[in-house]
Amino acid sequence: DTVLKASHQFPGGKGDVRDEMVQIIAREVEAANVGLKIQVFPGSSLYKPNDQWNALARGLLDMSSFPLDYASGKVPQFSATLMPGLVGNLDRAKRLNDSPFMADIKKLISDAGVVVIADAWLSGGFVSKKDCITSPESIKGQVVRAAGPAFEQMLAAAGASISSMPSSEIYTGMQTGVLDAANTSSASLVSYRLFEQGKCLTAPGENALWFMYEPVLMSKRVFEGLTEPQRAAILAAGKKSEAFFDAEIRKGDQKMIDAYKKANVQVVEMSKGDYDAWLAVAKSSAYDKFANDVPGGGELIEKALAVK
Amino acid sequence: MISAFVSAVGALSRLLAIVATLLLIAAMLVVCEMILVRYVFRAATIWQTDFVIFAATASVFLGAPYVLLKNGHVGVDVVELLLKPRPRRVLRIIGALCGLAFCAAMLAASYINFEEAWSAGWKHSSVWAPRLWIPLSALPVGFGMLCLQYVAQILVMLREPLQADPAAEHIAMAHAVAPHALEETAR
Amino acid sequence: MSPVSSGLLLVGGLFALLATGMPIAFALGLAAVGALVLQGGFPIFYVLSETMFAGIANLAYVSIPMFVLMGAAVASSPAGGDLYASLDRWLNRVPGGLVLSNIGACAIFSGMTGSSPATCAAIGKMGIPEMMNRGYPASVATGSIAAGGTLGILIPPSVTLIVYGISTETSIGRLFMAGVLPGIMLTAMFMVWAVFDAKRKGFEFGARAMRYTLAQKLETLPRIGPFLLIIAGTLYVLYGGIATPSEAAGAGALLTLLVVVIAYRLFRFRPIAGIFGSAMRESVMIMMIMAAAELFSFALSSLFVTQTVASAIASLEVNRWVLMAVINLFLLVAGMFLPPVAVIVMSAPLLFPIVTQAGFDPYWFAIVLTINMEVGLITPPVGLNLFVINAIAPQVPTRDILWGSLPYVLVMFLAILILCIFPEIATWLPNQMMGAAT
Ligand code: NA
Ligand code: NA
Repeated sequence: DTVLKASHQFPGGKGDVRDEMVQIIAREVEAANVGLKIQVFPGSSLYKPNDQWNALARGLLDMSSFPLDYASGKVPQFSATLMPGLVGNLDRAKRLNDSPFMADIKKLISDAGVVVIADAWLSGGFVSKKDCITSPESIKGQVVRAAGPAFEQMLAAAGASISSMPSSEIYTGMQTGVLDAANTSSASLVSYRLFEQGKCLTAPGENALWFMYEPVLMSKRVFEGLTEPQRAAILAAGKKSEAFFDAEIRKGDQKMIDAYKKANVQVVEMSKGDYDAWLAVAKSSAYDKFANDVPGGGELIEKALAVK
Repeated sequence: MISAFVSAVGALSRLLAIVATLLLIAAMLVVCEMILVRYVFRAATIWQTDFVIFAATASVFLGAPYVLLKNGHVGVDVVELLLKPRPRRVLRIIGALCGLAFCAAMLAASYINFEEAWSAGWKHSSVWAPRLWIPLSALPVGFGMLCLQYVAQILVMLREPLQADPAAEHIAMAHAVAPHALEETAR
Repeated sequence: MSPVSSGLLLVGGLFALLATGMPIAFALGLAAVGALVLQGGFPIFYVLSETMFAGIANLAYVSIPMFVLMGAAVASSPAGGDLYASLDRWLNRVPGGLVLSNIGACAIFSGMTGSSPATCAAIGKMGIPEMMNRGYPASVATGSIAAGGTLGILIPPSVTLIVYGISTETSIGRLFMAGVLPGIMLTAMFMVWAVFDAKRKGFEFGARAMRYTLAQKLETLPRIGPFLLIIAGTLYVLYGGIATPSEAAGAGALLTLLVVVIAYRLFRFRPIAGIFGSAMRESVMIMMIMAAAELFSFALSSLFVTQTVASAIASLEVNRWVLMAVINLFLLVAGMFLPPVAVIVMSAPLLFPIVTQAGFDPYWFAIVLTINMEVGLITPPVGLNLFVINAIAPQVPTRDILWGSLPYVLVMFLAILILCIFPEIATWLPNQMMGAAT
């Protein structure tokens, strides 16, 4: 049997959707009986989150799942996959996957020696101890921990104070008052129990700003070294895990809303008007910087916005 | 000739130690500045976190050669203490060669990493996006200097007469573990 | 090769390298690099550097040099002596009063540094000669300082709790809080033993003849002021909503420096440079071991040793307390040979899931682990506190130091036992202050 190593940073065997995606691929591939086995190393037990990209590209690591933005220091165009307002909602995220925008991104991934096995877009929102975060005005003066550099740029442009800290410190930060608000994935909003500290949750809904591309990836060199049936088994498993993810992520958003409502936290969504106002802020901050600093950045943004 | 080499290496290690100490001081001041900016002025902190992390991390690798010079990286000395002077010296030279092997391996590994970061223009993925070769350069510099420091140590060991004092070793080790107290005692 | 045999080979290789007396950091690193190259050849060189660098490039780890700096600042000034002298005036009429002053001074100093050797050194250089002058046996003098010094990593701030927090993604602020009551409890237990031991052996040494008036006692209090100011200031920054624990360390370090420089008028370049230089040396030593331990645990994981051991332990059909006893035994042995940070970097990610799966509170476990690491600080062959005592009191044979600290090791075991029976001692304060654990 060929044994492949899969590494990720999420808790293993505890029902984390991203862990489960990798575990499904491992189970399906083993069940396919193609002489292939996948060892999963959860919780950063093999590579540190930011080191996984290089290890994949070098063929030292076989499979991984992490926010593609982690590699944006090496391939700056990847910042587009954690760019405020480019996705909007989960249905549009699916349409985005088959768009020219993602074709460009996947081409860059492949050029670096990595292939995508399963697509996944994580949704997220805001939680605040002060005013509900809806329009750009509502965030003025709040100290926010944002998830992703482009978000930091946009939120700062809207008048927020940005405070960078590890996500494990958000709870303490909000409790002690270092932070007024945080912007992160729905999964983290639940697992860090921020409903105990927040007064208002901005749930993803139809007009969400925060989406992050977090695919399951494989080393291209390793993938191409496999036999035809092995590759087919991996791709089929990838499709299954993608479908699983799509169902779970919607349940996850609902689970988050329930948890916050149960804790008597006000739950709101952004309106189309709010969303457009944020897009205007993003265009003059994060998008603008991305278009100026990154080769082909402007076109990527245009292509993403052009998706229906 | 050898003693000139040994003292030149020592001087370079001291120089790096000064850089490492300055980086730590800078990290401390920037942390305080960051708290001030955020808490008092409620303004954005963009570059501070990255700077503090990279300065503190770089200082570890830059300070390591000096700590080796001062015999300050803690080791297990029980076996050594059981031996007679001649085998003890052999064991020490083996230990130094093993240390040199690791530092040489890391010099190669960290140079590869630095070179990639330099030529591919890697940046840290954050708003400030500093170039990664800057903090990463601390590793090849530190490990390179550690290699030289080891070579100097081995040369000295090969030449010195057989009379190393185990008690002196303990004091050297404690100097690394809690240098402050002992400097005070020495005064 | 099976994971078990490659694991044994790796650990065996490490021990062989350690036996040469080479730095622990480089022994860990060389064993890891050797194993990785044997497993996958030289391409692994592409990730070695990142593994070491990323292993310590973390905002929370920046607090380690900062908390070390706090200790260095106080230790380089006459402050430690003042603290000690003041406690002595209040406690000299109690049997074994000087031992109590030592332990008490260690406990207070622990609130100002994250490192145990620093505590040991700062109080010991004053306390050991003083005790021996007044006729205490060398073993009692050195043993109490060696043990009292271990409080440095239990009473917050603590380097080991920071490393545990990062390795297990638990809240450092909460961990610190969990250490407070057990720290006070262990201090009290040390003191109870010291009084008992003194009574038993009749240590008086004319201490009762040396009476201090209330005025003499009170006049020393202002000199403790700076300490209380530092501790209160750091606590305020830490829990008062100003900064995260990681940042409070930087503020605490600057505050300590300012207080020490102003209170003791250290306005010259040399002493200040000395403080920074010694803090740099101690933190480089600690962080280099951590970076190399990251490399070693990467090798263990890469060879699938970690996962094999973890699933073997998890599949043991034993009572959870038997499991806890086995884990403690493992930590005890590891702590004998390796410094606390190395043990935690390598074992916390492995043990954490097992321990939480078995229904133990992660914050409680952190405290049990820390007390276990305290034992390691005063056991041969690698006991950081022992090295310090050896340097401060070179005339005292190591055997006496060990003999003197042995009772305190037993007291620490008792403390672990008490924590097992009453886990609330660790969990109550954080639950009160920060709500139930997340
Ligand atoms: Na402490
Ligand atoms: Na030990």
